[in-house]
Amino acid sequence: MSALLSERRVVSLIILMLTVGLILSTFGLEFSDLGGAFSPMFFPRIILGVLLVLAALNVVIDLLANDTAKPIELLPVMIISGAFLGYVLLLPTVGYFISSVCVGIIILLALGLRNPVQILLVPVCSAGALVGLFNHVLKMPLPNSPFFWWI
Amino acid sequence: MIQSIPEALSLILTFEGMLVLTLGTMLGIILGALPGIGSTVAVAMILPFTLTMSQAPAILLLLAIYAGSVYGGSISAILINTPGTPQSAATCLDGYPMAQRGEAGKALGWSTIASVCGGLFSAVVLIFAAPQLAAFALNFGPIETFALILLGLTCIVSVSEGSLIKGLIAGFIGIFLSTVGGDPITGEARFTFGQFQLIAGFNLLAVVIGVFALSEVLIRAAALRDGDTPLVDFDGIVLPKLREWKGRIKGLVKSVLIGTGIGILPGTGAATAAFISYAEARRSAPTRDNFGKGEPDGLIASESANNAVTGGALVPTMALGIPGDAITAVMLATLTLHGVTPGIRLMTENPVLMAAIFSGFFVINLMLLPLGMLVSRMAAPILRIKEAYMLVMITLLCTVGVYFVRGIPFDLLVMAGAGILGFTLRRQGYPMAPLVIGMVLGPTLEISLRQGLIITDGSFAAFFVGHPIAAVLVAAAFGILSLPFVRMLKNRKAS
Amino acid sequence: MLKYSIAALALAACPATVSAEGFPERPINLVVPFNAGGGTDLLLRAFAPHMAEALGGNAFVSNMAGGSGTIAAGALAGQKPDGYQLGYWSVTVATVQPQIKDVPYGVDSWTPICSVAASPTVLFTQADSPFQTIEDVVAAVKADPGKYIYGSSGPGAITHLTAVAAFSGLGVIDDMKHLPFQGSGPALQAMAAGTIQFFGDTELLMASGDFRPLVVFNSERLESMPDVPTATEVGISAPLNELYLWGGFFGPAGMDPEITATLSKACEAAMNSDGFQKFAADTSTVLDYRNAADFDAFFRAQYEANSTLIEAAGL
Repeated sequence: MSALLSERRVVSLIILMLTVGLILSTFGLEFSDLGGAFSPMFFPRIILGVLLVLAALNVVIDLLANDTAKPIELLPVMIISGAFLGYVLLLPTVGYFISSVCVGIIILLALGLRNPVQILLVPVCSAGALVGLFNHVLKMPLPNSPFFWWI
Repeated sequence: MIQSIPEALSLILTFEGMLVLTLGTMLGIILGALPGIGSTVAVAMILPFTLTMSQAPAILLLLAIYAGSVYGGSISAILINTPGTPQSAATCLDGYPMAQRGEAGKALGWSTIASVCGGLFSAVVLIFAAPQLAAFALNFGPIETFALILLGLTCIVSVSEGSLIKGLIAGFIGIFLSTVGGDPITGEARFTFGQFQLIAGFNLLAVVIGVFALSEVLIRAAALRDGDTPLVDFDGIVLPKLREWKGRIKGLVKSVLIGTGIGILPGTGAATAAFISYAEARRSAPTRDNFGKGEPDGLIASESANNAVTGGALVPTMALGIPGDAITAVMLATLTLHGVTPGIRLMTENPVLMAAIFSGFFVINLMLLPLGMLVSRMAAPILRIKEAYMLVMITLLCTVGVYFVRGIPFDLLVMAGAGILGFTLRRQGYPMAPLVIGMVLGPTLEISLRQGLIITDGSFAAFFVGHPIAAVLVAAAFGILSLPFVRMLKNRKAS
Repeated sequence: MLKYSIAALALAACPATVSAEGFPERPINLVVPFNAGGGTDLLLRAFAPHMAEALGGNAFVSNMAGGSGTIAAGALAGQKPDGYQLGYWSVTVATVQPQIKDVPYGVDSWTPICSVAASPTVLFTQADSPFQTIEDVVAAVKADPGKYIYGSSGPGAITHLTAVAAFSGLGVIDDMKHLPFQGSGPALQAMAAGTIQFFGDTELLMASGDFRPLVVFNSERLESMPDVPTATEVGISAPLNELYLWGGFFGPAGMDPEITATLSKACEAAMNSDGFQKFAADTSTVLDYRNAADFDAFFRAQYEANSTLIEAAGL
């Protein structure tokens, strides 16, 4: 018997709880009360209702089953996930080029590369090529930095 | 229409015409093959260049980009398991396992031939029967559309790898995600919880790129031992031999018909067609037990169907002036810009232009084969670079692709969130294809259901009275759903 | 330390005070609140090079789609009013959406620059329909309440408002049903199939299919359809009797008046350029220039007038 709260069971429980929460939220919100198919909550309630049944069944199945997920290298995954979030949050403010170079460097470091030339060159060249192409050739601008309008 | 073809060919078979077609198709394949860049963004990139061109070349260039990018999406789907477009998501299911077995070249060979067949057939249909089919498509009101989408949803069952219940959960999460944002009937904001940005809803491409491409980056990071091994073993396309087609022709024909048919209907699209066709092949093909493990029939089903949609979607666009999707809408707008009014008189008033567009479309599909081989040969050395570098490039490209779909930074946050969510769910055995199907079909399912109920004054039973097409489609959906149980019973009796 | 040097760099690169002199120093961004390839997008792509020429600088178009255009407007409303970012808002983005949705902008969020286009709207039915005139429609609806359906390209869209203006103005809206579609294409297909009977749009629609115009929402009859009565003639009273699909450039509120004037003049010059005039002729776009002051007054009047319409639509 594995630990009672395996990763898989936690995920299925979270799905169930989120579904319950969303269903409750459909009753708390104020919408124009036109009834039936006119109500904005008509369709989502059907979908969430089915999802609730499925999620509950899923929790039962996962509690009965007893398999554990393969172990993984958690550290690079955590670092890269964090880098993704930071990347997309920073991108509108500091621009595509700067944020892309940063996220590229973090990914390469997290994957265990240590050669400084490679670590710098790959992100700078890839991001630079994309910015050059879109901002200056195609005139479809990616977000630029507050420092220089051209990158 | 047909009698104008000779004159139309004189427009196409010029140096300029062929140059536009060749470069356009090639560029379309390359853009489609880049992970993250979908057909919509590819067309948007090329659009400014068409503004200065004359009528026929401008439309042909857009068409070439469209058809090329739909095919190109399969290249990255097969080689690195990251579909460049939602319509290639079904191609991953069997294409990537083949590539993992070391048969990447062969997988691309199957998908290329299937794409060419799908595209060519839909081009022929377009040339000979566009007005008749467009008129038939009018029989598809909200109620019929609802029934068709219901049938489409049953394919969630067949693409649920491993656990049926987890597949269904992923599918319903997908449908739910599609309801976030503005309500299609009343315009009110739903599930935004005070966040203004959510009013625009979750963008399909942002979610697809997140759950497939970004989560793939995380999965590889989790499994990476050394960053030096190349991603995939690939030297170029290997075309299937003639005898290998034995037993597969029937499936190909069926998929092409499904793709063309769905393309003609409004409000559906290439992703829907690819999934429905894949599900049908999985139900009926003799090789169905191998599906999901790298079966060429699965590849053929999705790739021939999604390319057949391109021609099908042009049927209502050109015959009625009613665009079937975002890309055909762009084409109509371009026509307007060149002084041609799209509408029901388009074909009768501009027979030569229309014939040029249709025969150009045929030529584009012929060129997919040599150009596809050329592009994948060019891609082979790129795929040999270090996996770590590749992961960085995929991330940067995905950001560009998602950003340009709507130009709103919020979509990038959705992409990153979907990537992390996708990684977590995939690790626990939740398949991601159903989630995409749910998001693709969800909006049409909802609006057609609610429109139907408004028309019938809220009576769901009235959906089936006087709507024979809808009744047949719903019956088929139930048939497909009950099939696994019927088979189970049969097996029990046999043993 | 790093923070300070970045801040110093920022200060050096873009001076905090925007001076009208020497404007523009860098490219101007024209924001389209819809996807690339749509009507508005093409209009701006045709407009941008002429605007750039008139300003003696550079101008490019960027797209920001979602939430019926409100995402783009919401994003621009909070930007620095330096004149380098302008949005092209239509009547619905500028005056309708902020009154029906909870959006972070309103009537006072803008510095109107210039109006570019304005087309009166028209109510249509299918050409083979039994209704010859709007009086036929009123009689039929009264005889058979709940039977007839008008379509739209979406709730709150101009197509929706046109039908509401007609049927609310004629007092029969409660006897009819509204069926919204996702875009004009599916709605027109539904009208051809007979699912819906009425659809409102600009006169441009006439060219694309077999439709019968019933009433025009203009101050006088249209040249292209001299037999079709205006809304006032059929007894629709103000403010529902006139409805235009208009669009123009807006900057964030609080722009330097000199920069506004420069942009407004450039806008006029660009609209009068041969290239843009040819574009307008090719696409049957009805051009309608107003300078910054006139546009400001027009925009505020429209904002008020459309609140009546929104109430009638039940939005």
